[in-house]
Amino acid sequence: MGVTNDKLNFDAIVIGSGLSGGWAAKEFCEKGFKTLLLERGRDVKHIKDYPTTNMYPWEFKHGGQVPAKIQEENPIVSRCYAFREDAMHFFVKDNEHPYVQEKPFDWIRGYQVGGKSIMWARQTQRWSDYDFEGPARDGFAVDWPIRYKDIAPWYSYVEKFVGISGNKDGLDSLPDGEFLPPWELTCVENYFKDFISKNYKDRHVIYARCAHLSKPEPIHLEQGRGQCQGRVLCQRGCPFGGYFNANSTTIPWAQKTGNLTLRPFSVVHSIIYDEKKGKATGVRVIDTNTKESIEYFAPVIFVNAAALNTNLILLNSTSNRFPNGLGNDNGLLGKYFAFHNYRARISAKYDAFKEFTTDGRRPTSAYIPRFRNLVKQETDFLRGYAAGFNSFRSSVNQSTDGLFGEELKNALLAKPEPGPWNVGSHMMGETIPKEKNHVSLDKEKKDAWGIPLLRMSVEYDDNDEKMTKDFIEQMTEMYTKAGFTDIKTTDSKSAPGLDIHEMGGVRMGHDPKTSLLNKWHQLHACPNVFVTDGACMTSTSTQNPSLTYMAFTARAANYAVEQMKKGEL
Amino acid sequence: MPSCLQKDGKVSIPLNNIKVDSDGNELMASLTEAILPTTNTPGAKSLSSHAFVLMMVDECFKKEEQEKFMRGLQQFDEVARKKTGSGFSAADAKQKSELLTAIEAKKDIPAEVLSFYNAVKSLAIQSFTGSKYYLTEVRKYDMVPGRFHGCFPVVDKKM
Repeated sequence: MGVTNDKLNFDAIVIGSGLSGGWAAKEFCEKGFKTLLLERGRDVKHIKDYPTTNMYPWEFKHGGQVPAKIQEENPIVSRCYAFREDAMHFFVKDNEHPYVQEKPFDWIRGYQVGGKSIMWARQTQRWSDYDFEGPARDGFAVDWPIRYKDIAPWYSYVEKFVGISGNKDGLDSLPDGEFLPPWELTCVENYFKDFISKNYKDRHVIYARCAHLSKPEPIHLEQGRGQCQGRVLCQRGCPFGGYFNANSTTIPWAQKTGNLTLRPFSVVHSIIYDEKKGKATGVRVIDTNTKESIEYFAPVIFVNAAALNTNLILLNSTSNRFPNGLGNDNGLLGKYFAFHNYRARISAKYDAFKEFTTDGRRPTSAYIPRFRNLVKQETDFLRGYAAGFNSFRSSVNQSTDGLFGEELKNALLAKPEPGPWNVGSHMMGETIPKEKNHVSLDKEKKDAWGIPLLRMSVEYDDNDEKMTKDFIEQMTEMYTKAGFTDIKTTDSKSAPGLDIHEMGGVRMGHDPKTSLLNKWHQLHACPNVFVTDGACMTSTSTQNPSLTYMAFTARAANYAVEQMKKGEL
Repeated sequence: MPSCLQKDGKVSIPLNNIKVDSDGNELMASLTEAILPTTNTPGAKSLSSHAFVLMMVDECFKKEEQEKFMRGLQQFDEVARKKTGSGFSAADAKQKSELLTAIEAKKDIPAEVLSFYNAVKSLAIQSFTGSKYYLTEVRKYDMVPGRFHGCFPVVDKKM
């Protein structure tokens, strides 16, 4: 590509420096493209900007708790499991970036270089054709324009670079990948795995694949990352680079090429569309420090702002040609928004394997791939759910009831007795994208940069209620048959959002009349704009989606490079 | 006036939401030491547990919980004066022990005194079990385990 001397012109612009945007930047920079990577928040440099990463528990002023004032001022993010004293600096506070909830939606965000890849849960399961074929088979949304064979090589491509710890399980519902060794399952997890495979012919308990370097390969060492030490303090950022985040992996890799310009504090207002050229030519950025508006130009633009902000940017990119948002000829932009249903949980005890416990820590657990409606429709609701499966040996401290003084201290110093094993599972349910679940721009309210606030109108439906009930019934049955006791189930009834798996609004499809993106993630009506984050999702399936976004992004970026070399973009 | 300077001008710990004067501060110090005495292992005095308790109430309790705590503190002071004559801080070890025994037995103790005492006790325990001493000498916190054994014999396990 031609070297650009002008500071405003690039070969590619990537909006968003998180998990998927980092991948787009890496691919473009490696191919010699001068790339501008825009990030609305501050820079976070690997290790240097992880202020809590090496802090011991006693070094936290509030013992890990978030002070009451912060919780009261930020009720939404305070509901997120990872919003604790050690990582709260990586989360957006409610009052800093408001949005409009037509219906309750807990929007959890990370506005910084690396985005939410710093605090993500690091679970990486592949999709299969049972997932890609879901909408076509079951008659909802629209048909995915791709199948497993299209994405499989790209799963392999990103897995090798990211480093995925996994076990080859040979399941067609959850295809195997390029795996580093797994950590061990516990005695109870191995017992449950054997029990389920003997008693349910179509159900499996496997090792949950995760983005951790259990045994680094040369490519990971070359990235400057090292072996995962099982600290399980990942949300703080890892000084070993033991798990994948954009800060330790894709962004420094892109920087090493000399082709990357990383620009933090840059909110994208909109994408510029040139009516004469019939394509997008650049982006309007507002510098959040100076409030200055700047226009940057490139022949190809990747939108990786995280699903909701990607919708916002496209909706706000209006022109004579696209009065309702870029690429939005069919009026479907922002619609068919979906998420994962994480409402239900089950826990129990298991009074066996008393002679064993665990030693050390591991960054993952076991996983139950979707079994409901997998091969054919079998219930009165569509689709199904996956579940985690975790176990640990509890320890019972001496009671401190009625004690004070030396007796109390003796009780606290006494060695705890090993208690029963605790087991638990959480639901990861597919939701059905529907036109009425949508996001839009507020007509009056604007943020500090004059950009309209996003309005959220997303809720559960009857299918989700039935599926939640089925999860509780089926898991209770499996737990009961396995001999687990003291079974407790909960339906949190929490608003959508805490799954932090926002998907859709800019869905892929074959037909420009019913979808926004083609099979290469290009806007049908503006093909030099690509969307490869959660916004592109046609359906949600049950897997944690990040691995799929990475594979989508690498595939689309390499396609864009080829097309540009051919002069076709 | 900075919040760490109380009405009597003596420096206490910096508090933003609750007001504790030097008498209250002394009461908290002697109560936490009675609950968690400094022996051959660290206790409330050496861990400054009273300062931790007050800081947590000040920063991690909601407003109504703080008000309840402060009412309980005042009532505890009154109950202690009635039972010991001198007030808790000046009472001897036997008197302190009798009062705490009565509270632990919930005998004729007002509800807000009980909830105050339970809050102090549980935060004092937290200051001990969350201390560097406890997490390095009693239950060693393993910052970098570097290992995971899923099926490990209990006998060899330091719980």
